[in-house]
Amino acid sequence: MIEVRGLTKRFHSPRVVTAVDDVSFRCEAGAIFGLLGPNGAGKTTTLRMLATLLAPDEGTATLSGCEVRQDPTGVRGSIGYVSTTTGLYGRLTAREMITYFARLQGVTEPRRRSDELVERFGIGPFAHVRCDRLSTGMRQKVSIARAVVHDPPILILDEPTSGLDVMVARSFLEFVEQARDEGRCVLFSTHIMSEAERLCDRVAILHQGRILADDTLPALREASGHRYLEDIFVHFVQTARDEDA
Amino acid sequence: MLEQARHVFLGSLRMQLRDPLTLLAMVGLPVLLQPVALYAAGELRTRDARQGREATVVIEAPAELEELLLPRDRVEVVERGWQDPEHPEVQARVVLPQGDAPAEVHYDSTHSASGRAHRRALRVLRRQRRADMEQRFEDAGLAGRHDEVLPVDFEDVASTQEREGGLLGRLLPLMLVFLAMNGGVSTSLQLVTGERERKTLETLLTARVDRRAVLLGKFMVVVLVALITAAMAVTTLWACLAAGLYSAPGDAIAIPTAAMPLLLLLLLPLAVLMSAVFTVVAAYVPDFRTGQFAAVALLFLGLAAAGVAAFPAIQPSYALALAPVTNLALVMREALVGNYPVGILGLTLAATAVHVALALALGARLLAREEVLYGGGRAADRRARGGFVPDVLGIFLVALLLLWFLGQRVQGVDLLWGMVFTQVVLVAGVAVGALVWLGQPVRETLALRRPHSVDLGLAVAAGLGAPGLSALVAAAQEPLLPSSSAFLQTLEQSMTLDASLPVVVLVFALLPALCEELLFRGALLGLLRRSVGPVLACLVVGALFGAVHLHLIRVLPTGILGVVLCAAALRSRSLWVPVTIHALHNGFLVLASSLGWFGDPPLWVLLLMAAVTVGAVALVGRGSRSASAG
Repeated sequence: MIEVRGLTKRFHSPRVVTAVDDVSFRCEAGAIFGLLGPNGAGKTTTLRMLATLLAPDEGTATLSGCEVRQDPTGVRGSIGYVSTTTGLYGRLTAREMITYFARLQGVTEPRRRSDELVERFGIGPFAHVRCDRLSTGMRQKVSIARAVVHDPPILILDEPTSGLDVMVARSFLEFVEQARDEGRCVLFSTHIMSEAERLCDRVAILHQGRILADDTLPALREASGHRYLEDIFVHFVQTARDEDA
Repeated sequence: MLEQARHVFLGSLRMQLRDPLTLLAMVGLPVLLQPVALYAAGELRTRDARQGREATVVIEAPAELEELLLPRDRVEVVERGWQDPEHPEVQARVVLPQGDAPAEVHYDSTHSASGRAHRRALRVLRRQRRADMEQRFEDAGLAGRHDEVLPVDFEDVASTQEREGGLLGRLLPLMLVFLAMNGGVSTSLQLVTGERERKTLETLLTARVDRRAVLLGKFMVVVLVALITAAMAVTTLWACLAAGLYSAPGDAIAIPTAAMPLLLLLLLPLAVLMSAVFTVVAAYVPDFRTGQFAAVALLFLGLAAAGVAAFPAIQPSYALALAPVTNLALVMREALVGNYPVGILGLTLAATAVHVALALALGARLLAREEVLYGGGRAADRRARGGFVPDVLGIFLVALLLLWFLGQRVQGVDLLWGMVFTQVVLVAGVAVGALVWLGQPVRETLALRRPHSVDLGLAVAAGLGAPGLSALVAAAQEPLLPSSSAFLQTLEQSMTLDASLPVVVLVFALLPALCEELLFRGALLGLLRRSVGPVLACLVVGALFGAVHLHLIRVLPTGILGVVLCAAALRSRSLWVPVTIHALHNGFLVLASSLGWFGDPPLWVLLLMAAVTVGAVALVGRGSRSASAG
C-alpha cells in the first residue's frame, strides 16, 4: 500500500542538512505502521514527502500505486492527512469545513457525505459552530472527519495526539484502531512510546534522518533484548551513536 | 482545474466575507469615509469662498478717491485718520496719502484671511495706479491705455463644472487606486500568508487540488474584494455628487455619464493587476508581519504610480500606456473630463493584461516552491538571522522625518552649520544609534573594513563618471519631469556659501558622502541584506536613497546612483568604496557649482561617464576575490 525506497531530503539553510537520509519501509493495508523518533528525527519531513507537500531529492515513494513525483494528485486523492495542528478554518463552521473539503476532494454528494460524518463522529451538537470557537477535542473530531471525507485507503497521521488531553487522545487512538480494522493503511508518527506500543503492528525507529530498525514489536524485542519500547528505542539509538563514534 | 479553483474561490470567499476587516475595507471605507471626505472638502471650499467674499479691507483714502474705490472689491472706505488696526473684523488696511508719499498696506502674513485681504488691497492699488496714469496721460493729451506695453486680459473659458471635474479627474484615480489596493491587500495577506501561518494552507494542499487551482481560487477572491471596494468607491462618489453632498461654489459638479461605466471597466484590470501583485507578494513574504510592511511599501509605490495622473502636464501617450498603474490612472483622468483616447485605452488594457499574466505566472512558480509553503529554506534562514525589513523601514522613516522637520529648519537658520548638524547627527547618528539600539555589531554591519587597493582605484574611476550617470538619468526623465529653472537656481544657491572652497567641499561633498553612506550602504543595506537577496536589497535601498532627497526630480537620478553605490558596497564588502564614489560625485557637483561650470555637456560625454561608472562598479570585487582565491 505504501512503499518507500531510498527517500532522501536535504535542506539548504544555509549549510546543507540531510533531514531524511535513504529511508525505506513498507506499510500494508489493514496495518498500523509507526514511525518512532525524537523531535528533529525526520518524521514530519518523511510524512510531508509522502503527502506530496515536499519533493524528495532522491528515492521513490508509492502510495496506492501512485508515485509522489509522477502522480501527486493521485497520491493526494488516496490519503487522509492529519498533523499536529488541526489546520481548520476558524471562520467556517464544523459542517462547512467538512463540506468544503468534500468538494475539494471531488466527493460526488458532498452534503450527504458531510451529514454522514457529522453523525458518525458525533459532531452534530456543534456542527453549526465556527471552528475558532470549538474546544480542542471538538476540533480534533472535525479534523478527522475532514481527513476521511473522501474515504481514503491510507491515513497519514503526524503526531496527531500531541497536545491533546487524555480523554481526547484515547478517543483518537480508538479511531486509529477502527481505521485499521476497516482495512486502511495507517502511517502513524509519534514520539510517545506508549502509543506506539499499543497501536503499531510494525515500528520503524528513526534517528537523525536514518531508519535504525524496522520490524514488528516482538522482533524488535528479540533483537534488542529489551521488553519495553522505550528501552528498545534507547538501545538502537545508543548503538547507532557508538557506531558513528 | 477550473472546477477546483471554483471550490477554492467559493470557500475562501465565504471566509473572507465573515472577516470584519475585509468588510471594513470593502464597504466601510468607501461608503462611510468617502462621503465624509467629500462633504468636508465641499464645506471647506464653500467656507473659503464665503470668507473670500467677507474679506474686510479698510481704505484710508483722500475724499476724491472714494468714488473710485467704493463700488468695487467689497472694501470699506473710512475717513482719513482712522486709527484702529486692532479692530477684529478688519483683515487689512490700506493707507493712500495725498501727494507723492508711498501707499501703505498693513496685513498679517500668518493669517490666511488677512493674506486674501492683502491680495484684494493690491488689486485696489493697481487699479488706482492705472486710473492715476490714465488721468495723467489724458492731461497730457494722450488718450487710451499707455501704462502697459502689451495690455493683457485673461479669461478662463472653462466652466466651474469643467474646472471642478478636472480637479476630481486628477485626484480620483489616486483615491480609486488606494481603495482598490486597500481592499485587496488585507485579503491576499490573510488568504495566503495568514493561511500558511495557521497551517491551513498545508491542509488545503494535501487535498486532491492542483496548486495552480489554489492560487487561482484565492486570487479570484482578492480580485473580487478589490473590485467591490473600487466599485463601491465609484458608486458612492457618483451618489454623493448626485445628492449634492459636494457643494462647490458655483455650478453643480457632475461626472460625465459615459465616464461611469468606463471607470468601472478600467477598475477591473486595475483590481486584477493589484490582486495579482499582492497575491505574489503574500506568497513570497516569510511571515504576516513582513507581509504587512511589504504591503505598505506597495501601497506607496502604487500611489506614486497613480499620482502621475495628478500632473496636468503629463498627457496619456502610447509609451505611458505601457507603464503599470500609471496608464490606468491617466485614462481614468481623461475619462472624468470627457476625453476618451481609444487607441491609448486599448494599449493600456493590453499592457495591463500582460502585467497580470506575468504576475500570475510568477505567483504560480512561487507557490510551487517549498520555502513559500512552509516559509522554510532560505526565507526562514534569513528570518532566523533577523527579519530586518521592518527595522530598515523604521530607521528610514525616522531619518526622513528628522530631515524633513528638523534638518531643513536648522539649515534654514545657518546653512553651513545646519548641514554639519544634519549630516552628523540626523544621518550618521541615526545609522549608528539604530544599530546600537538593535544590538547589532556596528563595525560588521557597516562593513567598515579596509578595501582592496584595486577596488579603491575602481571606485575613483566610478566616482569621476558618476556625475555623468546622474545627469544622463536627469536628461532621460526631462520629458516627464521637467527640471524647473527655479529649482536649479535654488540648488546652485544652496551650494554657494560665504565660505572658502575647501570648507564648501568638506561640508557639501565629503561629509554627506561619509554620513549618507553610513546610513544607506552601511546600516540600511547591511540590515536588509540579511533579510532579502542582493538585487532586491540594492533596489530597495536605492529607492529609499532617491526618496530621501525630498524633491521629485531628484528621486530617479539619485535613486539609480544609490543602486550603483549599493552594488559597489556589496561587491567590495567595504563601505569605503561607495564613500569614495559618493565623495567624488558630490565633489564634482560642488566644484562645478562654485566655479560656474554648470552647462549642457554633449550626450556622448554623459554616456561615456555613465559607462565608466557602471563598468568600474561591475569590476569591483573581482580583484579582491581573485587575490583571496590565489
